[in-house]
Amino acid sequence: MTIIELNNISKKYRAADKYAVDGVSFSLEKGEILALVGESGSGKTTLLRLIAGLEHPDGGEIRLNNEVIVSGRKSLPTNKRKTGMVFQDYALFPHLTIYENVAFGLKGLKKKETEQRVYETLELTGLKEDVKKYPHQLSGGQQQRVALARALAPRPALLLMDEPFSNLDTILRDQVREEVRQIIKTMGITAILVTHDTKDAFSTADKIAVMLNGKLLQIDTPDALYNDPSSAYVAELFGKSNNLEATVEAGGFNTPFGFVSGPADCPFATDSENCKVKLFFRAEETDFCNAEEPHLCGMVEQCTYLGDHMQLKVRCNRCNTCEKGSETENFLENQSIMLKSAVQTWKPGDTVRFRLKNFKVKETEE
Amino acid sequence: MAKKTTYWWNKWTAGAIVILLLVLTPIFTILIKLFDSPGEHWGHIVTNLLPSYFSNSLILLLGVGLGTFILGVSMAWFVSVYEFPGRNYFEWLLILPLAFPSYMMAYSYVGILEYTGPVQAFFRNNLDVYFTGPIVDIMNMPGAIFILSISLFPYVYVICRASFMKQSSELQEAALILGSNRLRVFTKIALPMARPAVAGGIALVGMEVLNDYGTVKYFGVDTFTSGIFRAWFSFGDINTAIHLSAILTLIVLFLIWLENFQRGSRNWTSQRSSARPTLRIVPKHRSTQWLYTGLCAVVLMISFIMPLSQLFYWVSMTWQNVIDSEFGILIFRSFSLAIGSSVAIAMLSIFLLYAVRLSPLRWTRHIARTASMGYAIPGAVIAVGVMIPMMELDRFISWLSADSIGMILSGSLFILVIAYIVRFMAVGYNAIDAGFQKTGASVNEVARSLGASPIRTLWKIDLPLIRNSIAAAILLAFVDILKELPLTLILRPFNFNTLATKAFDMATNEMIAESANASLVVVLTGIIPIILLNSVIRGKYD
Repeated sequence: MTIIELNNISKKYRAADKYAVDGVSFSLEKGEILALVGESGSGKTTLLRLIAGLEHPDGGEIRLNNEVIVSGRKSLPTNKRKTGMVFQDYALFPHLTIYENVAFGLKGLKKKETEQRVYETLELTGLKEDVKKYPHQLSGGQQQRVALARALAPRPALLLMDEPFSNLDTILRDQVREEVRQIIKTMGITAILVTHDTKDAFSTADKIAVMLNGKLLQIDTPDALYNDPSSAYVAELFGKSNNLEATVEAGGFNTPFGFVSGPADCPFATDSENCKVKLFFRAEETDFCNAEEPHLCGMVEQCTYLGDHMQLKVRCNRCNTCEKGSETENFLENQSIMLKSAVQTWKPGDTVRFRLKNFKVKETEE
Repeated sequence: MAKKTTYWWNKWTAGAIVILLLVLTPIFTILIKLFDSPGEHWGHIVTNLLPSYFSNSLILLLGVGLGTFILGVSMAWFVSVYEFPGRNYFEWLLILPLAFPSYMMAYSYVGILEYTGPVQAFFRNNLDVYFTGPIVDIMNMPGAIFILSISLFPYVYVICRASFMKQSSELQEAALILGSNRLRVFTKIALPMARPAVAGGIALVGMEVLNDYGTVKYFGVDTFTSGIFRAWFSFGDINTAIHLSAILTLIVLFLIWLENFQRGSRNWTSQRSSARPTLRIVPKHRSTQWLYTGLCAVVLMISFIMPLSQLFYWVSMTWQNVIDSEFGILIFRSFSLAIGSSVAIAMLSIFLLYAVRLSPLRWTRHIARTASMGYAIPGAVIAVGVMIPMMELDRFISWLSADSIGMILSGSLFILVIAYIVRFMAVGYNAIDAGFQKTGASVNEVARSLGASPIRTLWKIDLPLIRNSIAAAILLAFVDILKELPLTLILRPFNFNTLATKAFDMATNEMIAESANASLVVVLTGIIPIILLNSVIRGKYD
């Protein structure tokens, strides 16, 4: 069942400004968690506020539970929408106790039922002991959970979270992310969370939507986004990757680093003569190998120590052992790629022999 | 299925529009009436009086501007950069002159300098020097400039001190490391950076100068405001009063424009949110430290302690004759009127700002701001601007009831309350706006996302969180209303007095010593918010 559906939503803050949100459409099924990812100013928080009814779009339509809540100048007021929201700064009511905070959104329930619901929700978030305390007496992580409990207590159809983890330190963050996902999944609630941290998105979301300059670039599962990004921006956002120039030849691709075997028909151009493509692969999706196996090779130009692995910048410099394609040397000079290596003994000037484990053939962006 | 509504329209928007209309009507009335034909005395005033109104107002503006600039900036620099004995007391003591309405300051100084006053007595008794008449005649233009300067400089001082404190100490330190001395740091770094603040303070002073009636009237200096009074009371010529008011309004609007223009897009002081406060310099020699103490003490003596002592002296002489049950009633009436009006101001400000808070349209903020415009418009102008629509309304009511009841509204306290609201809305508005800003928008938004209606959110969340700001708004408006003179003089019902008008009436009727009783009540009341708010501000940093 579709819970939320956005249809061509646009928003400008001032007439002279660029669109903060530019023609965004997507929908979400019941129980799904969506992460909206993008740099600051990409429009992701605006989108969240539009759904909550704190802003009104210039155009487009929003449906919640198959009911139109925004269309044209008409809008359902925030307090009548069944959305819960967790703010970046948590926005706990400082003058109310934890119990009163969580109970605030519960209306039309008997006192007994309210009490039961509050304790139930606090139990889920592990805060049952602190009901009489005030927000300022809690740690950052606890405040975060109170904010979540408060939003969840009225059982909203849709939970919205604006940068929910950004005020937590790194160690706490990993733990809270897992907890939050557990809680939301347990309650079977549909949720949208906004974040600029791709780790947040990967560890909590079922689907990720990437935004840039108000536009929705891609919406997909984390796996699909990581391994098959639709654009260079999306690829770069989720870690080091390479777009290697190649020409299609019989039995594979000719690259500046050597020959890669693979499907030999040109997937994009109808003209299969001199067909140019790009090979997309992640920095970690290579195997290092010895001279006996078929391989690509290059020279280490720069190596950066990063704790659990080493990052290598490798420049094309064909060695005599690597498999060669035809002698068309019409590649750009000085191409370089990024590789990750668990072995940490590389030095600049070393020769690297490697093999692509996994790659996608992409159209050249010209 | 829940009902959808037009996204920007609700009861709050409607209410806010009504409040704005109420507050802006007087100002628009004046500007529109400018196109009517002027009154019969207009020609006389234009040829004989207008040039001197212009030149006197201009000289007064420039003189007081310069005076408050020198006093305000120097005091602010001393207390924010140097460390000397008593510095942390002077920091807030120097605000106290604000509690002293300038016309009461004027009365005190006439007393201080007259034959029986302490200065001449000192010369006579100790030095055997005799004067005929006052030691210095201050009942003239230089005197008015002096009085207004010492009573208004705290506006510049407060804003300027805040600006010096906010400036990043790193900038000043960088200048020192680059080889500048303190004077150069002041003239090249600190003062230029504080310029928008200084100009803002002086603009406020300018508005107060144009608003003043008591001082210039007592000293016989004819300005625009005294011209409005002459047209209204002496000539009974409303249209001429309106025309003078309109010209004065245009001058004020020009001043506001000038201030905004000079500020431009500059916002140097808040470049960094967490600028380290400046480390104060401790002068090497003990005597230098005491020099700063002495300078601050002299300014405080002249601008507050001496005139206050004079009031106490007069009260000790006359209280048996003045303090009676009638004086008690006067205080009661004056206080209830001020409390009623200031509570109304706070409530309207809350309503207006809450409508802005709820509105999804950003620009409503700028529209709502115009409600605070009354603070810039001289009281006499607002009085005229409120009076005209009220008289029309009275005429309409009489016509409806087919009976010539007359001045139901325009002769009542109601009109005075409306005028106070128009004039002092800014005081409440700014205090409550600050409260909302500090609380942030998210608590309100989260409450509404939890299903609370706007009104429930206001009661349960916003109001409890801004209650200190509400108290400050009421207190500040209360004190301002208590001190108010020109507007009250024009609009007070027949035979109705506030402490301010009582002091004015007595002083103009050669009962200056007796007037001190009412003045003292006003001044002592005015000290309360300065001490209270100061302790609130200090509490935050200590």
